[in-house]
Amino acid sequence: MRKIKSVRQRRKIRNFYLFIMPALLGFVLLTLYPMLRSLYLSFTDASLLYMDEAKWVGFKNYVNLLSGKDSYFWLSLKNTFIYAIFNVLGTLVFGLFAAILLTRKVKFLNTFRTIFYLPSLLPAVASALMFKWVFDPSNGMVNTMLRAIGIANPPIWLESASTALLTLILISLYGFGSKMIIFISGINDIPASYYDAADIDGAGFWTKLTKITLPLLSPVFFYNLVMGTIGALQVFTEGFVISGAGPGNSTMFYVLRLYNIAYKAPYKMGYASAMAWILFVIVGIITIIYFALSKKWIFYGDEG
Amino acid sequence: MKKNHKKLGKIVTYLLLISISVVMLMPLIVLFATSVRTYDDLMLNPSKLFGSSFSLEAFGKVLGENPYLRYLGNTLIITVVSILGCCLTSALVAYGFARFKVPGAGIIFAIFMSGMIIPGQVLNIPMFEMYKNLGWINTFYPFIVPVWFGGGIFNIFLQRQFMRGIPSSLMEAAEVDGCSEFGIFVRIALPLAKPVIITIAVFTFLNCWNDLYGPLLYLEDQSVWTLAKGNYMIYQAELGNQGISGGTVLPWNIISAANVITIIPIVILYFFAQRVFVEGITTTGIKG
Amino acid sequence: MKKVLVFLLLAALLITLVACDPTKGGDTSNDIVVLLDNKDMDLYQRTIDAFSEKFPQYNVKPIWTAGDDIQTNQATKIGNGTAPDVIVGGDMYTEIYRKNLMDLTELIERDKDELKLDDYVGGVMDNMKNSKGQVVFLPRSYNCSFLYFNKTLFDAQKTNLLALNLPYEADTPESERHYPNPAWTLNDFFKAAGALTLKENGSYIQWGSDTLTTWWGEWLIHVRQSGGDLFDADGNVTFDNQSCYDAMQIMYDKSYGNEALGRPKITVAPGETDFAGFQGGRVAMVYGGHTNNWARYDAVGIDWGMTVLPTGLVTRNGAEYAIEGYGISQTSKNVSGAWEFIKFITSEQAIDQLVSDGGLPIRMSSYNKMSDGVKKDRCTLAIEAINPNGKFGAYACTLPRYEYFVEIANTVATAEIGLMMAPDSSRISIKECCKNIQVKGNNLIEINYR
Repeated sequence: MRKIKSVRQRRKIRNFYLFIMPALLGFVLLTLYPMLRSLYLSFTDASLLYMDEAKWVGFKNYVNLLSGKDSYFWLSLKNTFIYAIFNVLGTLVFGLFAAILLTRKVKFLNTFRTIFYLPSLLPAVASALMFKWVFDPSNGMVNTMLRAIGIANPPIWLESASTALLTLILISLYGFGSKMIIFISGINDIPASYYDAADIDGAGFWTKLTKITLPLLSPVFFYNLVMGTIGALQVFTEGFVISGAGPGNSTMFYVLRLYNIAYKAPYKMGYASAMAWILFVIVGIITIIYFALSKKWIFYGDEG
Repeated sequence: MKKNHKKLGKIVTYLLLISISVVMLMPLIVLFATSVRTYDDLMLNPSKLFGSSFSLEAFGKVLGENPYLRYLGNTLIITVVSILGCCLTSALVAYGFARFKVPGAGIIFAIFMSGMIIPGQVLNIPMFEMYKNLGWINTFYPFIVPVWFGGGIFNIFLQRQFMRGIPSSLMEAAEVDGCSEFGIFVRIALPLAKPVIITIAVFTFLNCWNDLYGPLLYLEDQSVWTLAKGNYMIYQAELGNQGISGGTVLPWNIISAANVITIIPIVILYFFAQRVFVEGITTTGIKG
Repeated sequence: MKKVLVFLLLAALLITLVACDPTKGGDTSNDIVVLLDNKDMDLYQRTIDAFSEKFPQYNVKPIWTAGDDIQTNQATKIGNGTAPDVIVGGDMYTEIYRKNLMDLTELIERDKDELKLDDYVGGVMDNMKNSKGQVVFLPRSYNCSFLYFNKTLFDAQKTNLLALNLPYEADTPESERHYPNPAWTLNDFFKAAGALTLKENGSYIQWGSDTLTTWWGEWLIHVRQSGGDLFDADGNVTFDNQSCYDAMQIMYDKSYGNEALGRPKITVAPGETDFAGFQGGRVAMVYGGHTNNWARYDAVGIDWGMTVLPTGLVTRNGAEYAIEGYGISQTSKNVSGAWEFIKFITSEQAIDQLVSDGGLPIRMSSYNKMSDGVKKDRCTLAIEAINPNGKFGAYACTLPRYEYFVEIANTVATAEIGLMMAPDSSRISIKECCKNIQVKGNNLIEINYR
């Protein structure tokens, strides 16, 4: 009897590993190996053009980056963080706001939802180029309209170092729709009985919002905050297509800088790997902080 | 009194909804309007939102001077293979995790999941080196081979969540009938996981359609460009044509036309698979 | 379900196999891959056709690329392992591509009768050698900075210009004394630009000059003419000094000084249409400019003239001088074909064709064949300008030969100069700009190149 069980058990184990084999191989080949390799590279001065000249440089790359010797490291980090904070909070708040509006039993729900949501699905390149034209200082839609309402000298948006980053943030808010859809379904999942009970107590719209809707949405909000931040810290296409890090490097994002170092001559793979690992550490720290905080202020409902 | 209050609330709601709609739609309207202007018209009155001409000149230029069918074909190849790879292998792996309670499975799964926070850049540099050494630059291999290795951690996670919900009695019954484990997977788990597979397919599609970083790194020759890269390169080429003595208005009608061509398939797909888009993102965006 | 699955898998496999291979199919050893400027596509195509007729065994595969992108794209290809057989470069690229270029010395020695290296205009071949003394490129064309001017616009303001008492050379006929000429200094240039900047009803209808902040072909000239340079003898950036302050002041004044002598970057006021630059016919002068544009100026039918740049604050020397050369990649599988191709594209026959298309001759034999006229006069001036022993002395200077020059110029200097010229509150002072370029530039060199 025991032996039979053990045969079954062994077959189970064999089947398990057979089924997860693709992911296991993928993990080793496409995650573990590249991770170790880039960790190693980050301690060398490797350049893809001159791989045979690569030598071990210890912590030099990290020291150069963190000590401010690289004039663009902290700048790109600052730009990226400003972008990430406003992008994530902005899309979440707009998304929530729109979700609350759309769950108020409105007519043409489907139409509004499509109008709000579809723009967030547009291919990044196409939407980036669209906004490059929309925010064109001389002829773009925004300034044409601003002039039409009497503003003679509207901002020049992407052409100025003082407004370019702000403009990119504004543009990124156009994609709030995907967050909105998530919140709509979150709100719809809240049992109607909660609201019925609140109605009996005579609670108004505001009370219901702050006492029921928002607390119950907090896990969704939290999850999207974490994933949104990780995503936003890796912003690339917007900066690459729309502003090309300019003007005056005011929209130089971290990954954009990394791309320019790693994939343009002379392909400084070592230095770029060090940048990548610093980003990894930053993302890790942020994730840990979020999870530590989440225990305090997130309401997980009855199950706790 | 209270009724008036409610009515006011309704009016405010609609006003807000309509004004947001206007803001959301205006850029798109201008995009479409610009794409049907002639260049002469654009030059004459570049700051007018709507041209006084209607012409498909820009579309003709984009499609005539660029191998757009080729771009489309390339994008479709990458997309179709990615969808197949992601859906099938993630289902396979997820089935393994959902079905077999094996010691250590939880830890393996947790390790896989932790990979989700690794920034792509950490992995991209060695992969670029690897693909270069394999001679895979200017081929689709960097896009269509990795998808067969698990199909993305997040997709595995989604499928596992779903498959755990399949009653085990169903599978045990099949086992008693003499079905092999793979047979159970194909006959029972896979058909039941259809909703989540469709979701994964749709979002894989979007990712492939959107991706610029990958084509920038690996697809150098024009013959292998994707739509996203072709779209970007049209803009680059126009910037280049503007040249050193520069100063002219960019032919935004042509760039807009290229944008419209990239956007249209997404819009069409949205209207065909609206439910998947709306419900799918919910499953992908919510803590499981 | 199972059948569907198997079918899908097979389909995927098939697509995978079919999809990936066509691009590799062309990689045979008879191909000659090269990046060429799409603006000159017709001319190149004719040269390629002639080459294919002579050498049917080779298959030239040009990758048409916008001129500005050629070097970036080429470097990308070299890095990702898909280097073209023929590498487009020139003087400063001898260092940038130092490891990727084949030493041509032996091949040149073998075919020296055919190559006729003495035929090249002064000093060109010296600039085709890398720091080890190996010849790595064969020259086809060159660019030298000049002052271009629109004769029609100058004639229209003749009276006003003559009233400024601008200098002219002794033997100038009366009808051309108001044109820019070698006797001019920068000050004269500014005066003339002021007289040629016109307003109507409060908005500009014509500009005296045009300014480009993003190209070293403009700011580096001013730096050099003010007595400075981007790098010192050790290859470090030296920018925080009086010469560079002066040069940046000139850049600034060209755009904003004296009620906009030049066309600032963003000036198109509401209701105005853009001027389309010098080619649009409403910008009177281009300081620097690219000789590749000659044919384009002719094509749009402007009546234009050219002369050497005015003398700057300290010297006239410093005009950008860049030679376009063709070399062979070390990874090329078709060295013999690539060698025939670069020999052909730099041959007398090809240069003749280039000249007949409006380019300038890099071979004396092609120059000598030209018929007299305005075109030949321009070429005479160009040959004089690049001749270090000629009338204008060391007027033309090649670009710095440091591997990091392009990176410093594009990442650091362009951004800071752009900020210095910013049209709004993000503007930084000239001293700040110069200091930033020096500090950030040197940091960049130290981090990755020392």
